[in-house]
Amino acid sequence: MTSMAQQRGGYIDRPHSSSLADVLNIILDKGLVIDAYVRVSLVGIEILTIDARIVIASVDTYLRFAEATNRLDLYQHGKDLPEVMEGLNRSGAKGKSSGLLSGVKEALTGGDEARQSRPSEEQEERPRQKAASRPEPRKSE
Amino acid sequence: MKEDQINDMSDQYVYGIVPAGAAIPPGLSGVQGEPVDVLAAGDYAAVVTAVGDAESLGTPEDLLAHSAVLDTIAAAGPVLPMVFGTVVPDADVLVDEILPSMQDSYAAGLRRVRNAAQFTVRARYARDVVLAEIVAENPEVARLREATAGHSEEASHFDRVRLGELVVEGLRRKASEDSTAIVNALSPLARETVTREASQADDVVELAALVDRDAQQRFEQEAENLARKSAGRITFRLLGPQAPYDFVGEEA
Repeated sequence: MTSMAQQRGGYIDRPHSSSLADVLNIILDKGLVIDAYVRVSLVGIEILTIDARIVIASVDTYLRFAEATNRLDLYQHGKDLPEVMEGLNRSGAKGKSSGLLSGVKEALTGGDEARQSRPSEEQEERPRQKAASRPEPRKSE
Repeated sequence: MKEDQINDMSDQYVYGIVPAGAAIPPGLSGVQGEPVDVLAAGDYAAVVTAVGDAESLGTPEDLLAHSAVLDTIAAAGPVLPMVFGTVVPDADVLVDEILPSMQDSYAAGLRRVRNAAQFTVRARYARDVVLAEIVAENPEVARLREATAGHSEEASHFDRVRLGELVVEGLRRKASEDSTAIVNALSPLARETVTREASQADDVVELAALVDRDAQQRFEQEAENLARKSAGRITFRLLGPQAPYDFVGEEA
């Protein structure tokens, strides 16, 4: 039973039930399809998902990781700190899309792009999820 | 299993397929908070919820209910998950048309997942730890990090993009090594596996595994071992037992 699962594990994160991000990531679009019947689509999170979508090989991602790398304090000699803080402040607004939404974001990219070795017949009808995968207008930098 | 005439006439939300006569855990809460029922025909039964208003289906709560129902069933016995959002117009369509026509397909599907459940392992880097590795290993990253540190984002835009690009490349390179080790450790304990590509630059791997019930403990133990060995550097999240979402349909 799922309720037993949470007792296990010391180092591993072992939730006793899947979060919405997990579910979006793992099961959305997966499963058997009954031919000739239209699926009801997921509603209510499209706005989030459009905003949230991220592409690994994108300038947006690069800037985020550049920022994260700059923020590291591994070579911190004192003089770096104000500069690091400055960089942090400047990027404050930009960072807002990366926290709360990252679960959904990764979930949807995972669900949409990263499927492999899936029988293609199961992927025919995905009406509303299209919204999540359409190339989104990124916020301009 | 038909409750009454009204339910028969209702749209049926279909979670998945189980062998006829399979014991469904009691008290399941389905989509729209409604109870879960079973409609059988021949050797197989559909796990369903009669819904009054199919138009209002599809909320994130419904998605969670869909997975919770399927995973709870999967913890106890075999189930073939339907794709989220599957609704058929009434119980008769399911019992008289769909289930009878799909017997062979469901037989094959259930054979494939018999005595097994899915587990999903997601491994992700502890970002700062691995970024520090990359800075230490790649002089160009270290240089660009210094060069951009004191400057505004605008003033150092191109250096920042280049820095981020090198860092992301470094992450992907590390992930290809680390994910191989993870997949190699877990695959022998699984009947089948599916590896999904990273959806985030700091993902190591996401692995879906169809695990024999007999091997479940060993699989969990090995996942825990991996997490312990990588503690502080890679975080592991393990979901399951789940319905075999990645192992339905034609065999890969």
